[in-house]
Amino acid sequence: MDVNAAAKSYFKRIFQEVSGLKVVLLDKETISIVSSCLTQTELLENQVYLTEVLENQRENVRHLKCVAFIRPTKLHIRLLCEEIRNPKYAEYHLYFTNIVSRSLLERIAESDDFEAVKSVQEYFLDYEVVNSDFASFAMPHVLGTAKDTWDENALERVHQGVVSLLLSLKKNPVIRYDANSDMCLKLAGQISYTIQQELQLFNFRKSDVDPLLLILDRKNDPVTPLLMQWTYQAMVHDLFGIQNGRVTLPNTSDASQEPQEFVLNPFQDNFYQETMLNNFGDLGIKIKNYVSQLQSKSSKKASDIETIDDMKQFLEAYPDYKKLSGNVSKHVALLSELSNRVQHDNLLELGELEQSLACNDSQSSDFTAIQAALMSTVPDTLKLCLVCLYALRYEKDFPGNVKTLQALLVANLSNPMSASCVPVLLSLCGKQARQDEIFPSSNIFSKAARSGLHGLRGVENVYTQHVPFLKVILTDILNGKPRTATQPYASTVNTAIIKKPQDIIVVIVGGATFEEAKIVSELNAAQNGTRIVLASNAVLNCNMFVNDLLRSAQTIGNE
Amino acid sequence: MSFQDRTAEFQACVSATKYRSRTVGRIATPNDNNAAAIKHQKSDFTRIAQKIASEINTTGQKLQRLSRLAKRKTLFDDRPIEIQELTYLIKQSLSSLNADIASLQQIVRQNAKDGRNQAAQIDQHNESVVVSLQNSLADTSMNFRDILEVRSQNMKASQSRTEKFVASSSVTANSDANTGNFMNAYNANGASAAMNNGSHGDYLSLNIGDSANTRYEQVALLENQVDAYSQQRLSSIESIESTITELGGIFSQLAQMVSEQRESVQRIDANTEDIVGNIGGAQREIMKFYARVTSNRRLMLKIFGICILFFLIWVLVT
Repeated sequence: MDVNAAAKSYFKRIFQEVSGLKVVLLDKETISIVSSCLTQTELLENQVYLTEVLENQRENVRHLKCVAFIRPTKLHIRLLCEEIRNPKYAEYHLYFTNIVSRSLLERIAESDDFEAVKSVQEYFLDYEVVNSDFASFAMPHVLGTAKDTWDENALERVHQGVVSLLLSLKKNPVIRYDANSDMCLKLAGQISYTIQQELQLFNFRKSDVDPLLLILDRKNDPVTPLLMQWTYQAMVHDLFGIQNGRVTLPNTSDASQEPQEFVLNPFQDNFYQETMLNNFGDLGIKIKNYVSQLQSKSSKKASDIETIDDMKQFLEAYPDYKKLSGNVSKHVALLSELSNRVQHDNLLELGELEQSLACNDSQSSDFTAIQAALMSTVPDTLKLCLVCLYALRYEKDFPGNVKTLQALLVANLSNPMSASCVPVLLSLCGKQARQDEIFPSSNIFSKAARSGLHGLRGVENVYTQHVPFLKVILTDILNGKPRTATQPYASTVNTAIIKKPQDIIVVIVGGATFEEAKIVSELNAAQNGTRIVLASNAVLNCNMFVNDLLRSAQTIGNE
Repeated sequence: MSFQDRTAEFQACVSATKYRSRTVGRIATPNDNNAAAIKHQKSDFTRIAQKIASEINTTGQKLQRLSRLAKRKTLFDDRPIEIQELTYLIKQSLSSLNADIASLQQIVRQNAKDGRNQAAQIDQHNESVVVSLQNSLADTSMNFRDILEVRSQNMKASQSRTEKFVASSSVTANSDANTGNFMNAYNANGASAAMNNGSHGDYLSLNIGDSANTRYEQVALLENQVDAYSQQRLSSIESIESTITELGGIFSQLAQMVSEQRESVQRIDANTEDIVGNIGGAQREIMKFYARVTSNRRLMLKIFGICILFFLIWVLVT
């Protein structure tokens, strides 16, 4: 149940099967898949001397073998047919990321006049690896032209992605989905249909408990993507955006300089892997230690190189040292940029406000705080997030205040049009659209219980009070009481013999956040025998979520 | 981590496309042959049944022609030879059909006997096909009999008519003969008289004698002709009679076959009665169960009512 390991072993197999000098031929979508789990160095180690894109014009290199790693869409197959009709390489080994239909296979066969194709295989790697327990399908917009409907392309992509994820993890699951979401139902139906169709592929060794595929809808928890994140990975994604494991820092100090670009890949960067789930405060301490570690090494180096042995040692250790220093400077740059942003935008205060909106019951003080924030020079996205949060929380209790805030929002945004995302959010994920209570209930007993507990323990960290709803669902499942009312089974299952599943694959339709990924990896690390993998159509941050809302505001508004 | 190797499938595809492009023209004929072969695989039963059906059809057409001929009531344009030929042909084909159906039934029985693995429905279907063929054959032969009867009626009628005519003609012939004799005598007398009367009388008597002679010959010829005609009629009636007796034989065979069918019909009857009995039993059981359930429910309601009552009393008391 490790997506990264699965992807790595796929590639290992590919490079074992095709020996000698080779070209890797990719399409636009598999580029990001490959780059999410392989580095250039690893490719070179496997005698890959060229990496080409199917869509581009290429030269004839007749002495190289070609490993084509392609998503089997109609467009790509057409391009591939043209390629094979005029082969540019010695021989072709086709690896498809998903199940290829018989007719497409025949089309390729028809254009294979020179018998250039030596092997055709399906390696089910139709997803991008983000963390070892987090996969994404790179499909940021899933909503169709109406509420709770799919965009056709997105449905196909997510469906294929989930199927390939199941196949690569060798799971033949029972499916559960959010009962109030037609999108989840449709996806669940398609997946179970595919499983029925491809029974031979899904014929794995049966475990005593069937793995669980849990399909959730983002609309049942719209709060999590709106909140500001305080763990390293999530913060970087929130403030700068991680694209295919790369971060581009906007150069604030000097506009003439090229923007800096860093690779943030947990599988190649041990320090990042250790710290990506730490919060901002702990991160500072970790980086300080890291820097001092580098310092100790460098001081040792500089001090005494007297004998030839010392020189030899120094030269041997120098690449490591170089690598380390590069890594340190990268993380220091990131951290300094992060803290700049935090100070500049007053994020600590706003983060506290957001958390209090999500978790506490202090309507009046929050209301005045938001009003103050709207008047200030906070970035537009943050203003939108604040108003969205307030609207979600108090849409039924204080509709007047929500109206006031909306008006204030329109007055204080550089682009007043984007204020329309608040009503869209309420209609898509408002109280009547959700099926569970995600905010702490205002019931007197629960209040008393909570305050009592809080009084005893105190709040650990005001910035990370909020717990995503996913955690509630997952802990319920782990405690052996699945909520079959809100997440029913897609097929009839003998409910009497259902035990605690050992493998859970969570698919969130509409995007998952790093906060949820953190929950999943924490639960995985807890070592209670259950392995969880999170998959989603996109890795969300505040910006993307708000943009998605604005986009659906346009499409649904146009209907 | 699972994967699927589809190289073999792909290579099959490639070779298939190669083969297709190489032999586009040649591919049609073996297909046809295949189809023919598949057709040949149809059971003997079907083939025979088809043949029998078509033969019955042609026999029916012949019968129609025969009936058209037989119903004509002309005296002279009667074409006995043609009718006889037709009758003969139909008779032949009917008897051969009868034999064919008997052999078909044999085949069906054999299949049913040694082909236990075959579905019972196929047997049933074959049986019903045989029965329907028998029915149509019976219809055809019934028609044939009717037509033959009509024909014999017609022939009798026409014979009686011709007898009337022939009787009168023979009477005139007799009278002619008598008059001829008489005339002969008279002629003889007249001859002597003519001898007496001179040359004119001689001439006359000679003339008369000549005419009488030719007339007599004519009459004799006519009698001969009538005789041959009635002979012919007789033979045709005989042939019709024999045909009818043969038909009787066919009918008795058919009757035997039908009586064999009766057994199975009776079995079906018995089964149906069994079914009715079973359904009745099932209904009785269900009624019993229903009665039990209703009584249970009533008991439950009563207990529940008592509980409520106690509860109310308890509420009132406290």
